[in-house]
Amino acid sequence: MKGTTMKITVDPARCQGYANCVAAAPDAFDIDDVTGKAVLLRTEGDPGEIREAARSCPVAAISVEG
Amino acid sequence: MPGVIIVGASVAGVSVAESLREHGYSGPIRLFGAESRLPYDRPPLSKALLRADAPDDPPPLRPRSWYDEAGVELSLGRRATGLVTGPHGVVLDEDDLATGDHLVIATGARARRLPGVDGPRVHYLRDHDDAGRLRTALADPGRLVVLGAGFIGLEVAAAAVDRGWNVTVLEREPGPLTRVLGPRAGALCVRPHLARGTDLRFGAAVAETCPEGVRLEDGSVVPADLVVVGAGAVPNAGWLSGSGVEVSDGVVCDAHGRTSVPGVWAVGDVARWRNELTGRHQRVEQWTSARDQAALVARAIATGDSRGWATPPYFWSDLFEHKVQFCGHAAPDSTVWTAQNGNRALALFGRAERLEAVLTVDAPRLLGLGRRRLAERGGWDEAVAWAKEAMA
Repeated sequence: MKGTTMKITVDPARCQGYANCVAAAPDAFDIDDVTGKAVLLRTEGDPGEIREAARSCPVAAISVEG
Repeated sequence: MPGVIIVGASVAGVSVAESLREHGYSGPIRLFGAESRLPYDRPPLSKALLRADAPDDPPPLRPRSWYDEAGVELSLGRRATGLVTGPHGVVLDEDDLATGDHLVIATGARARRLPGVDGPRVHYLRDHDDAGRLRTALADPGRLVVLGAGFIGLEVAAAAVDRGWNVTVLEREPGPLTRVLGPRAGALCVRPHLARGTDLRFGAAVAETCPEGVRLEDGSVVPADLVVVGAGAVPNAGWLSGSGVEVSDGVVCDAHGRTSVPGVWAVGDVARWRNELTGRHQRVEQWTSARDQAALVARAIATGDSRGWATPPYFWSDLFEHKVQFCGHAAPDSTVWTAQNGNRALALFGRAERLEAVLTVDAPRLLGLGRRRLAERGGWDEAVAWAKEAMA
């Protein structure tokens, strides 16, 4: 089972572009070069990597449910 | 008494407590902090908290209710003055003793003082009170001299320029940021300062402060209404004297955060861990490393599953509206590859055919991808090929 029930959200108001999420889960997150903010590429992916991405965000801009 | 004693309530200490609960630890957790303020985050002290419109109170790391809900007993305004072992305990304010079966040292570091540099116009920056005093002192623009072109110095300089100050940065080394970035890559980071008119002087040896400002060793004087010192940090490890815990430029730890005394651990700025990825055994005064180390120690205590620190050290800096990010370890003799494209810049550091570090300016996406390459122990040639394409 690959993250079929996870709900992932990025709060652009909090995001400061630290890119911890890209390092932790490069398939799920990217940084928009114009805004400098994290964007969610897709909601499926390795749940461990996605949880780590949320945990490693210095400003807690990513939330994961499920 | 069973439980975990955490000494130091900044990001490292608070993260240990948080991570212990995440790993299912159910015993008592007691967290002691020397400051009386609710634990807060330090990176904004040299950045957003120096702005004229900054709030008086820093955002707390966690709201007070979090400590109650997590069952973390928080004791603030308590200074650790000694450590005893077997059973492990911390002496607080020289007369009180708290014991537990694990003890985590997270007492951080303090600003390095420069001899001869003192007086009412001289500011050091480490805690929230320091930042508040500096913010107030920056209210009426004048001439600011910053001692040290490290990240703290350059961040304070940027904040002051934004508030209308005329800023001179004096650095003893021949270039900026040499301690972290080596001799060549720092130039990429100071372009925003040069564009804003900051006077950066390298090879400037400061002798002392004087009534007119700052006197250099060659006798010349740089006039200053205000002086800020950014000369690095010293680990807060003096209280461990005589405890049996080995201290040598910080608390000496292995790659798991274990000190020389079983059951006593250390994390964050005060700790000198070995990093299994970079092979370095040095203190890393970085927010992300403090979090990483805290998570590893908490896991080991809570589950017995002890893992080595193998993630590349990472930090960021904000200079004006520009974002500088660095990951890995750059050695003085590393090969450096750099590219610029408008405001964006990328530098790679490598040795022995391996990528060692990545620096970006205004290119957070590339930093994220570069970190991934570092964590996977990527090769140098592949990294350069990737970087050329990314910066084309």
